[in-house]
Amino acid sequence: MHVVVTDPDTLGAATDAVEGVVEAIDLACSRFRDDSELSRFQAGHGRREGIVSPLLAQALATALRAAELSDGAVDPTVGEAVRSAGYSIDFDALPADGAPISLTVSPVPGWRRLRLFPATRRVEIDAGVEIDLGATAKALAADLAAAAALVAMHGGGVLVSLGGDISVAGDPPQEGWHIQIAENSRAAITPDGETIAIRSGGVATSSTTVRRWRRGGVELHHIIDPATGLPATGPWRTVSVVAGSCVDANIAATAAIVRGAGAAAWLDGAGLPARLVDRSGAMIRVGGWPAAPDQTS
Amino acid sequence: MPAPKRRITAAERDRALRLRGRLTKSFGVLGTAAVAAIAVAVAASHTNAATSTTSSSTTTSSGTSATGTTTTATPTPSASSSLSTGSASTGSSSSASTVSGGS
Repeated sequence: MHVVVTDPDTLGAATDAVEGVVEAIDLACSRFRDDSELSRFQAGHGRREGIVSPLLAQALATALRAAELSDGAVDPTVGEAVRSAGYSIDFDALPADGAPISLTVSPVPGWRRLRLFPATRRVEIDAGVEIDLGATAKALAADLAAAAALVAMHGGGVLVSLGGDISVAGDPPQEGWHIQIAENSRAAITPDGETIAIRSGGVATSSTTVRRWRRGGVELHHIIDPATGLPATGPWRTVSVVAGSCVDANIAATAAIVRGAGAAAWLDGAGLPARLVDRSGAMIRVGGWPAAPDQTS
Repeated sequence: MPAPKRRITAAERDRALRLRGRLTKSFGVLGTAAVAAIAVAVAASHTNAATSTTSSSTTTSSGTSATGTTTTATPTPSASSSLSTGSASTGSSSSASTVSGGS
């Protein structure tokens, strides 16, 4: 978690607000906590139905919107698929290597088997469907946290980064928020690193290079292709997107990994600035993404 | 004839922020556009300006341009039927405050 403010005096208030949102999202949406609202709600394998909290309803609404806008490329019903691929516990506790596992090519149940009635916050999950909000909940948390921080600060500007998912709110610095783009959000800022500036909205990067593990000598990762129920195998290993919100940037970046070869044209057509890195490390930039550093002089 | 513009008071701005806080609590994320819209609406209620002045409003609060707030709007994620677009320019690594990458 990284919080940056334009007025140093507001950092404490901003950080408190961000921490509050992150904790609330974790308690509502985590599938790694038995006590999370999502875990309790979807316990069991039969049809589940009931009323959920406003925050979980919003997270589910965000996930369903992601599925709809990505034509199903970002699907919240990947829970069983990602667990079967070995990602069953918090990543920090996941063994990097392990014995072979058996994977079956099978489409995930599909987002239409999760229904949300926003007015009443009633949720219905069909039998056998396991929800995983990992694709969108962190980005939603970044947007919510930035908005909450701005309220707590009573003005100014704030940037919130949650594991590389970045949302900004309020008045930006005069030259904008400068953000370095990398394949790993834990990378150090370097003098020659590609850096962009934004004044609003958000930036998100989805990558198959960071959250990886091996089973039976086969590399696996956490971005599931809903069409196969297996880790996506397209040409792009990392995609960064700038959008009007972190959620939308994240939806586009994750969808691009899953969509594969057609992703660049899709992003460009949607007017979304994006940087795509293929498996060999070659990059393309579309949708108004700034030119590569060595092409600007 | 355009309605006259005036400075929004600190109290009005605080009221807008409090309302936004309550809305945020009840309905989750609301973009800063909502704050700007509420602030402009408060100003409009005093000047009889039409709501169409929102996009061109240059109301100020305590010397801070409210127009700047409008341009930093974060759309409500669940409210739009298409992905919201953003823009980026070339930045400077010496000014970078964070890294966007996979996690």
